[in-house]
Amino acid sequence: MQTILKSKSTRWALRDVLLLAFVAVFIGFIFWVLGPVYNILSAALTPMGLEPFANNLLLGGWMMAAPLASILIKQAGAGVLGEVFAAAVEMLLGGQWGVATLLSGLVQGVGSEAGFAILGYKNWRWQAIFASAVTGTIVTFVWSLFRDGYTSYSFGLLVALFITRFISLLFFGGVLVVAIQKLIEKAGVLRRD
Amino acid sequence: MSYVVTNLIVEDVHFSYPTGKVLSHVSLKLKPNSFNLLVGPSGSGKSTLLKLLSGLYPTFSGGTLDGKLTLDGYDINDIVPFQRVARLGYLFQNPTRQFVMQTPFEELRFSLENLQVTPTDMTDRIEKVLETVGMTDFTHHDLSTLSGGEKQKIALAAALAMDSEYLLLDEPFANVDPVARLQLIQAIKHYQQQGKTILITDHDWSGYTDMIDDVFVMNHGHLHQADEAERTKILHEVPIQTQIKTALPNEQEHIIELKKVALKNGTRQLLRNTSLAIPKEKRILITGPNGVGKSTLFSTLVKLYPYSGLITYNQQDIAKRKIAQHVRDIALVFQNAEQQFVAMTMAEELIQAQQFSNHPEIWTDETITEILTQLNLVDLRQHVVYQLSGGQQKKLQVLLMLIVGTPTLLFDEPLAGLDNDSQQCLLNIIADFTTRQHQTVLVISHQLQAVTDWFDFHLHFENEQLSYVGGEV
Amino acid sequence: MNPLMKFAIVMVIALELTFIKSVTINLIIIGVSAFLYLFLKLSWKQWLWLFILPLLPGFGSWFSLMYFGTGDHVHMAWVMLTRVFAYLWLGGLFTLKLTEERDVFLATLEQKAKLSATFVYALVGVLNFMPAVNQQIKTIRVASQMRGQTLHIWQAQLYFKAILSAIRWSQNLAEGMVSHGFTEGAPRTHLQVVSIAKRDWLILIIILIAFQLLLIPNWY
Repeated sequence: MQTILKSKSTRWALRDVLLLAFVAVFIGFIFWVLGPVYNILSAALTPMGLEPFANNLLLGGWMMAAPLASILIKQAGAGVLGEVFAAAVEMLLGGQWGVATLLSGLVQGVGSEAGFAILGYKNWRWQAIFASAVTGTIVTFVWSLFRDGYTSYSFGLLVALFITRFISLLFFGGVLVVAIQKLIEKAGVLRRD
Repeated sequence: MSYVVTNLIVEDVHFSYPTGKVLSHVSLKLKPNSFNLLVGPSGSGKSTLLKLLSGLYPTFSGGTLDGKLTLDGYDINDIVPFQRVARLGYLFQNPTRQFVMQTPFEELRFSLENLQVTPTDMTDRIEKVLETVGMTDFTHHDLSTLSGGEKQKIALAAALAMDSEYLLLDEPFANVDPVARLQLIQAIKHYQQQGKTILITDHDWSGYTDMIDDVFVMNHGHLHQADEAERTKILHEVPIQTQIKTALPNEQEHIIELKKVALKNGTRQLLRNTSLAIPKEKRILITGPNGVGKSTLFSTLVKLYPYSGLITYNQQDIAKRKIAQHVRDIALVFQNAEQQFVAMTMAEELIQAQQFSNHPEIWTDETITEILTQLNLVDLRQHVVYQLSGGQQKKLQVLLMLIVGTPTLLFDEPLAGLDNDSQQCLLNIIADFTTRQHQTVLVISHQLQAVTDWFDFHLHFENEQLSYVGGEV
Repeated sequence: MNPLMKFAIVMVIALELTFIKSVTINLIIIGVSAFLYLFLKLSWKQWLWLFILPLLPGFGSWFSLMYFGTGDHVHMAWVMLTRVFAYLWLGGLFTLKLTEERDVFLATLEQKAKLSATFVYALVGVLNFMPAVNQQIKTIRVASQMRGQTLHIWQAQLYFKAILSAIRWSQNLAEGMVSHGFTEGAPRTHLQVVSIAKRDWLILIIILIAFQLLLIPNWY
């Protein structure tokens, strides 16, 4: 007779992984659509030497997949995975940073998820979402010191860039994610046992 | 193939969601090697029963399941999928978004790998099932470019490849054109002759009536087996083909004009070099086999799909029109109602639509309440729109789009999934308000019995051609 | 060469480039990549892509470092300009061939890297659904515009609608996969068994060692 066992409950359920992947792709595409806007903005800022502001201003948007994955799946690792999926999509769509996108995705995912980790993966509400915006800003900024050559900027510009990035993450990764979470809960569309 | 006949037991099954009961006291016995038909109105619980039998529910739906639902003595839900599908195959109503792989060959390979089939047997088995469903030529085609009927043949091939003793089919021909339908029926028949047991839900069994052994009837979550008299009665009520009587349009004022328009899906030609005009403030029916490109045509008209040639709206090239402005003139009532909601509760949606209405004088609060009453929605105002049933969502969506009152409205299957009374009621409301708002109406519908005398003109879409029919009234 | 091996080499070097402040090293990477591209038979479009795409972020960094940098900022400006090119040219060795090598890449992930099949097929699924997702986002926006609301990038409603689609689609696909026998954590057979040639390992080791040797003299 066939061995019919009770299905092992794996940590990463198929449904969750697919949801996470789809969320990442949808978010990736929303910001991909924004690509031309970003290009115009950065092209306009380039001659003034202010191009990094365009990048920092929109970084919160590129990073949204991470906190969204965390609040939807409510599991350690979701943020990192979500952001890596999003980065893979961006890379495949032909992002300007090539393979470095994937490395950045990993860093961004870790940065964002750190906020949820600090609260022991127990809180998935606004407190944790904002914590993730803070840790996300810090971790990715350290990464930028190396990858984007920020170590060679004057202190004043660094402060301005940090503040820009923080505002972007607070808005996209904080305010917006909290609002999205409210909509999803009100709509009752996420059926979880 | 297993040596023992798999034993499926369904006894006193109850299934409910927090929002309400779906199935009560359901018991089902299928004779080995029989062909069984399950009938019942939409929303009566047929699909739910099939999904429970297939083991997809309640895992993927939530809800509470009670009663005995076993396969060879094991709870269906406890059986790991790769062993379950080897005994009990399942075919979805809609083959879209069920395939994970890119081509039919890969999808079948994926399925066989899941079943841990020996690699050396795989290619033969894949070729054989693709031949059975007549899809050999499509082995390495991109699945996303296949028509509904072709996708369904691939889905059936996947089910056949598993060689399961039971095959459950949920309205498998709903998205399939007549030719593909016949081919699918042949393949299923052939499969049954190998000693398999079939359970199929459907609304139209023409073409396979003589294959049916037992008939089961589902009504409001209760199931019974039809006795000889009921069985005979059911099997003889094959839907009548409705005659649509319309005239051909003559020198009218035109709102939309197509000049040498062609549409493609990947490499597949949908529409070839078509020129025609849509008269203003008329009601036009669009018919044609599934997958021929009717919905794509609608998408094209609202600038969501690329085309070649020239399309004008009010003598303006639509390619040059800004999308936001364009869809204020011509809007699509999408098949998927959820897509068109912009707020959270029904009341909020209605207020939003009123504020944006082109005819606020018509849509007073009293009028809206009256219409809601006719549609049986009046008590649901505070409900979240995403939690309404499919039928309620559809009725609300149509109402909202009527309130907005866009000059040209495209309806894509507005009556699908509604019972007869709701269909008639909704049609009357559409007729009344589109006339008062001087709207041009284009409708894709398969519910022809409901819409016989309703239209001014009739466009038929087939063999890459779109043309007016009728005239000889 | 096995695409996963290629991917590993590319990722390791890209990671190191992040911390190496050397125009010479960047130029060597660009040069070697360009040399390899000669054998890969790129289309003119792909060449154009390689030249145009890094211009904006490259010069963006260059200008800001020239204007607002301190210390060795002029050097750093050139490092950043060449680094952006190096990232893309290096990555292109993997991504530009991915369309042809995708299946082998994913199969290697599953069979050799032992990545759980759940993740591998989730990745396969979303890759195949990418065009549909693109279309769906357009549809979401147009469907709302028909109700008189334009969804902007800063509005929660846009993301809510996108996530709603993601929820529905992931549910459909999960059901589809399970009805085709996909079982989490269960063994699977493979029609195409991936094997990694010894030569690939050798190339990987040689390239990585050679690259480290290049860094040792610190002569840049």
